[in-house]
Order: sequence, then C-alpha cells, then structure tokens
Amino acid sequence: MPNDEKSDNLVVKTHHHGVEAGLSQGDQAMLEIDPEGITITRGLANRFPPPEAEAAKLAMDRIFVAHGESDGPLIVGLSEEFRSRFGWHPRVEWWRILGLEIVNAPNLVEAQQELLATFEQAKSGQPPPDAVPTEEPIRPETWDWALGANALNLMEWLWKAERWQESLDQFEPSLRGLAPTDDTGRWIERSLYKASCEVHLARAEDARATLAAAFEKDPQEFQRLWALYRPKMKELENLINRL
Amino acid sequence: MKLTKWICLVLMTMLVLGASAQPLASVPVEATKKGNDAESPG
Repeated sequence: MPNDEKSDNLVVKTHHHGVEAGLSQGDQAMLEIDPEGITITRGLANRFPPPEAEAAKLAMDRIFVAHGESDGPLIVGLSEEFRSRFGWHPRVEWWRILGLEIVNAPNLVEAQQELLATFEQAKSGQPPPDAVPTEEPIRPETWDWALGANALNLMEWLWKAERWQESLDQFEPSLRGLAPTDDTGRWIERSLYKASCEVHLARAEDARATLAAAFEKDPQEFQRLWALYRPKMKELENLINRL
Repeated sequence: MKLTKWICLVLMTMLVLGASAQPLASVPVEATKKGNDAESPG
C-alpha cells in the first residue's frame, strides 16, 4: 500500500498499532511531569517519502522505535544525530519536537514555530540546503497535512502554557490538510481546545457556539473524545452538560 | 487424593497472589495511555 493511502489511527499509547499497551519508562517520566495524564495520541500514518540512502532509513527506524517508547532524550539525541549525519528530513524534525515535549524543554514553543516556518518554506520550493534526498518528491498536500498537524501541536503547547489567545490563533491553521468528511474526530479535538481557550478568555458564548458546532458534527464521536479530554478541560463541563 | 487437593490449593494461592501483583494497578486507566496527545508522523 503506498504511504499516502495508509489510514490514520486514533489511539492510545501504541498509536502505531491502535491498541493499548503498558507504560514505558518514557511514559512514566511524562506522568511525573503531568500527573493528570493527557490521554490520547493521534498517530498519523507516515506520508513523507523515506530517504534514498539505506543507512538513513535505518537511522529513521531507530527514531520511530524511540518515539513508540516515548523516550524523549533518545528521540532528541537520535534526531540530532540524524541531521548531523544525513541532513534535514521533515519526519525526523517532527519527531524531534515531540521529543522536546517529552523532556519538557523550555524552548518547545519556539522550536515548533521554527519547524512550521521551515515547512512553509519547503512547501514553497525552498527546503533547507541540507535536506535529505527522498525516494520521491514531497507533494504539496503532504506539506498541508503536516502544517495542519503541527499547528495543532503548537496550539497544544501554547494551551499547556496558558497562552490562551496565541493558542486560539492556531485553530484555523490547524485545520489545514484535514479531509472534509474523514477527519471529524480531528475537527472536534481542535474545537475542544478552541472552546477551552475561549472560556479562559471570558468568551463563554463563543465557547458554547464552538462546542455546539462540534457536537452537531458527530454527537457520538464528540462524546467519545470528550470522555478522554474531560479530566483536563473541566472548565468546559457546564457548557457541555447543557448542549 | 489429599495430595491433589494440596497441590490445587497451592496453585490457587499462587494464582491469586500473581493476579494481585500488577505493577500498574494504582495507575488510572487514563494515565496508562500515552501522555502525549500530539499528532505524530507515524
């Protein structure tokens, strides 16, 4: 199956297989940082073409495994090693940011913003000079998908930092690349973050409208996602109970 | 016959003790899920 035809998974823990698994050491470390537990990961099937060189492919596989283990220091270390040995690859840089989140790096937001800017430049035909040769060209729709997903990640980092307006500003960019019909869950998740920001900005009416629109899109999916997000978005409880 | 009952009792005890020795038993279900809710490229 070509990479771009792989289905995406919504999942817990082992997002690569769509099943739950025990805690890795990396997961334990993350729980120490955030005992409330943020609960879900969306693993997007890889749509980036792999590098041409076999050694680079193997190095990428090692990062993939470290990512599955939530081993932040290893992800960051291997990603930096990859870049110094082979050059810049968007999938590796994306992982590096997730590694920075796991190790609670103070420069997480800035690193994510830099990555988004680099993706934009790459989409417009100006990738970093040391970009790794890939097996096939990266298509514009792949860049859009990556830009939307990384905007969501930025939205989350800002939300965690309680930078509500800046987080809210990422809502529209986070919708880039979403499929009109198959990405309802992603649309609802982004809406939950949006509504949370609106409540914190004392815009309860806007939040109510945001939640109502998300609920109407797919009530069952909304309830399923709300059950996951509820522990960390208690500020939405009253509004959602009245939907 | 008595020996068989004794072996069964020992096995049952081992099973009960084994079942209660779950290392993650005190971790809430939500918390056993990955702590990262970001989107990831695979």
